[in-house]
Amino acid sequence: MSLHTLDALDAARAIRDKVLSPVDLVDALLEHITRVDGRVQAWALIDGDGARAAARRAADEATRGVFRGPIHGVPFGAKDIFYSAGLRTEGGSKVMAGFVPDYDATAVARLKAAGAILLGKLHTTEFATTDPAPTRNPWNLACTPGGSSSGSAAAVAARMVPLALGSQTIGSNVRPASYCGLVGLKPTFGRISTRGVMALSYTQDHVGLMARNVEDVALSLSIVAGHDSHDPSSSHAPVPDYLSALTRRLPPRIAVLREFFERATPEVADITMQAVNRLARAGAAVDEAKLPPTFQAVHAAAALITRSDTASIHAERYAQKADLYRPAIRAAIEVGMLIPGELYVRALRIRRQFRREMGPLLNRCDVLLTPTTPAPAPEGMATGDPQFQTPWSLSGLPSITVPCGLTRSGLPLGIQLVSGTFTEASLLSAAAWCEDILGRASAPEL
Amino acid sequence: MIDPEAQRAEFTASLRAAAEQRFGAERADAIAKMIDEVAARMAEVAAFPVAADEPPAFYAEPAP
Repeated sequence: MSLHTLDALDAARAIRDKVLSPVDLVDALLEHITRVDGRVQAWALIDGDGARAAARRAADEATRGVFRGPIHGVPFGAKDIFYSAGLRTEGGSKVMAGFVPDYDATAVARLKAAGAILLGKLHTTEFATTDPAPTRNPWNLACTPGGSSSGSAAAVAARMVPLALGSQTIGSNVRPASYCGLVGLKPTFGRISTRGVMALSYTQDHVGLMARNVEDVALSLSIVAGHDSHDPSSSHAPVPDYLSALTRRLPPRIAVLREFFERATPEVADITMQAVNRLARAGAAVDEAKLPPTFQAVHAAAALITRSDTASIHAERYAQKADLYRPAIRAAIEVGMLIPGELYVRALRIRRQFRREMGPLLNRCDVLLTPTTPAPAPEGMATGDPQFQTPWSLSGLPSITVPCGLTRSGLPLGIQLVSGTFTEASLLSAAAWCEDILGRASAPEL
Repeated sequence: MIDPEAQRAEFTASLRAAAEQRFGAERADAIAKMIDEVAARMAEVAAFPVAADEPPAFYAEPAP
């Protein structure tokens, strides 16, 4: 097996068992990046020198039996909206050209404290909106990897790094993970601190995680989750050991949301239903559920909240550098400045009503299930349709995508599972059970 | 009951006027598509029957 194909937990175990050196692992990944990233264009910045130095330290510590945490010596990448001390962080925008933060985003800092090595920064759409990144989908270079966490998804899928931080305000983590055949988690709002992450919406920004299997996502969530005194929206809810939760893999009670299948292409609906049937045959209790009436208004509410928040967040920079913004985000900021406050607050009330109405639905099952996307990754630069993620970003409910097959044209598809707030342990357990039945995605040929 | 299409047209006109005043006619033209999209969303939110006693949701809250 080539070292660059190692998943995060396998690499961490090999380092702990002293059969793998972090130096060799970092070198293998950097060599692989040199081979393939010219075509994929996942990386905005590769910190080869910094990663090699961190790997040498990690190797020396491992030799002495010192392990900083459960991910000691394992490299990761961070979307380029995550602050990284001493490393350029530009958010895909000329507005931030040359910006070098003097501290790490909390999620980056927590991974480093657990022994992980930051390999570099991954391309994003401009400020995590829609003006695209240059990144291509490793499964088909003519297609988008999705966005806004474009580089995160493409890099993990192309085996350039086993683990990446992304983010999701509307559909930016789970969708690209699915387009690239990965497991992608958007946890409950407040589960992971957003300190040091360039903001887009005060109440919809979520840190997301991407890896090639559920275990690696569980491992990384255990590390980065938890309250942060610097982020008032981060939760005090206790952080369970999410990896241990995966040892209890029982067939889940699944409620299928039929409305999403009706909005998907026939091929996506068909492949997803085949996956559901396999899960049912393996023992899952599968039922159908209907969304509450407020679902009709969630896309409109999410749009008004995001546009208004974005306008507020960017007001000062816009006043100084309007011409440096690309067209889509500039238009979003300008129109966001004009949305009446009364409708903004009404949108927040719709959000709460939706959360409240979802309660009974979530109580009668372990997870809700939908296709992750209405269609596979489209060709071209546009980053695809986020509508199947919007309700969960708006409501703050956790969601995860797990690969479920390939289209006739060879593009990955996923099932999206959703559960109640702060139930990531059972969500990950259900996802791991589904992964066992459906199998992991293979590696794209590059 | 306001007709949804009339409501949408009213929002489009008011956003367009506000954009011209704040950013100038050239920028208002440039963002006309975004104005149309947001006006449609404003009309949906305005028309949706949110419960009278439903407060807004801001940060993390207990599980529903």
